Amino acid sequence: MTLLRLYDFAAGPLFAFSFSVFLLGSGWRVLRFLLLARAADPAALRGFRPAWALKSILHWLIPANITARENALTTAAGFAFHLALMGVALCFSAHVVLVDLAWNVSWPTLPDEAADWLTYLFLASAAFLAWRRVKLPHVRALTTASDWLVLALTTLPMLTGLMAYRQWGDYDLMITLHVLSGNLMLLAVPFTKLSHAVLFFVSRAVTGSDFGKRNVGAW
Amino acid sequence: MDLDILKKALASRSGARLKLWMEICARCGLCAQGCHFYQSDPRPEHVPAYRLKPLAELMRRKGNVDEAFMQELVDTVYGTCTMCQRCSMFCPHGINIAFLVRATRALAVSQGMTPQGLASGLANALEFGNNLGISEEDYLETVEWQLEELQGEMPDARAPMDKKGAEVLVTFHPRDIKFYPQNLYNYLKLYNAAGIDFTLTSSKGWDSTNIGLFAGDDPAAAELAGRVVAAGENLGVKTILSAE
Repeated sequence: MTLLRLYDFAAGPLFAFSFSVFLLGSGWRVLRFLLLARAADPAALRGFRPAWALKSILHWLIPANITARENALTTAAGFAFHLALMGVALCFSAHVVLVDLAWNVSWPTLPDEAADWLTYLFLASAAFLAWRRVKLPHVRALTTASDWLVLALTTLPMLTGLMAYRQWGDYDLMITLHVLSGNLMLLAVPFTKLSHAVLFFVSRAVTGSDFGKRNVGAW
Repeated sequence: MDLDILKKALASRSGARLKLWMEICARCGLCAQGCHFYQSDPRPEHVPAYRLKPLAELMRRKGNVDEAFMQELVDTVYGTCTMCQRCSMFCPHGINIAFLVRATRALAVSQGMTPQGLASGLANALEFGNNLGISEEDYLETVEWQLEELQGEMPDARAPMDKKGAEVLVTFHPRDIKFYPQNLYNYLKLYNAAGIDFTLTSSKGWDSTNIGLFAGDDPAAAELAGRVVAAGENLGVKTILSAE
């Protein structure tokens, strides 16, 4: 019974809190960059080249770039990881129903079977990324504790979500862990390298603009 | 070691880009593919992102580090990177690692820890106007000598010195003057054959390599770049051709 009360708290007030921190914190990270950049050099923002920035972002979203060609497997794993995570988080039917109940807005959902397969794809790519960290000496040398923490924070909601949906293990426990870990992931975004959820676009824009100015290609 | 100066140098460097890039590096190691150090000797310490470790640690300790730490920092950021920026082309986030390496070098500069070879090149550049310490006389003579050689093959060849109102100011890497005058010969041949309205400068702006920029020494970098700009402005050229 206490478990379900915890669930109600985590899916209700805690989620409202985490989601707000996620939104405001992420917005703050972008705003802070702009403010710092302007404070350091007002001319830097004037020299910004939006066309090159956009090209740079697109070439890495498609992906059409040198790393996609030379490191196709890691690129594929990275894309599977991100697309599956966002696809399931945003379009899994139960998630959309919760949003609909709370705010009376809804959007198209994934068939449950597709969400299932996306979750397997996610877990496989997460396993591959973890394998790289352990097995490739040059990645192992770079790896810090926070890299493992962040990988765990993104994998836990997917794993517990799958287990809850499939009713593997104790359902009440799994669904509670699922909602709690989902909250943790959202809370971590502004404070860890997960901030690349928004700062990816800022960083690529900056570098695309810089490289564009030198006519060396934006990607 | 002067920790106050180090902390000030760190604070002055901790701008928007440095914070952004230090925070979002995913430590995925994909930059390794782009690095000529890693490609020729694939040790973990040769992965470009590895060069951010000293800066990350220094930031974490808020500048409270000792001399041994700084020595290791110097070895990493001067010893394993030519700041060619190729790794940035491979980084999914587009992190400019060379920018961060240069910021880290500036911290070493703040402690007077510029490696000897670079420091003497920099002193040369500031005193003589080029990092190899070539005298003005030797420079002018070398240009004259190569022009005479060229005129044997191309009688109309010219190497105008300080020609006001020329379109293009041609600058050099001092290596081409001191060790490879054949390169100078070829440049002059090329510009003459192309019919470009060019000039050379006898001022201290003839060396456009900026060893101050490379060393991470901002005031020196500004001084050296300023000389090239001044040379171009005094002659009223439209374009400055920078050395490779």
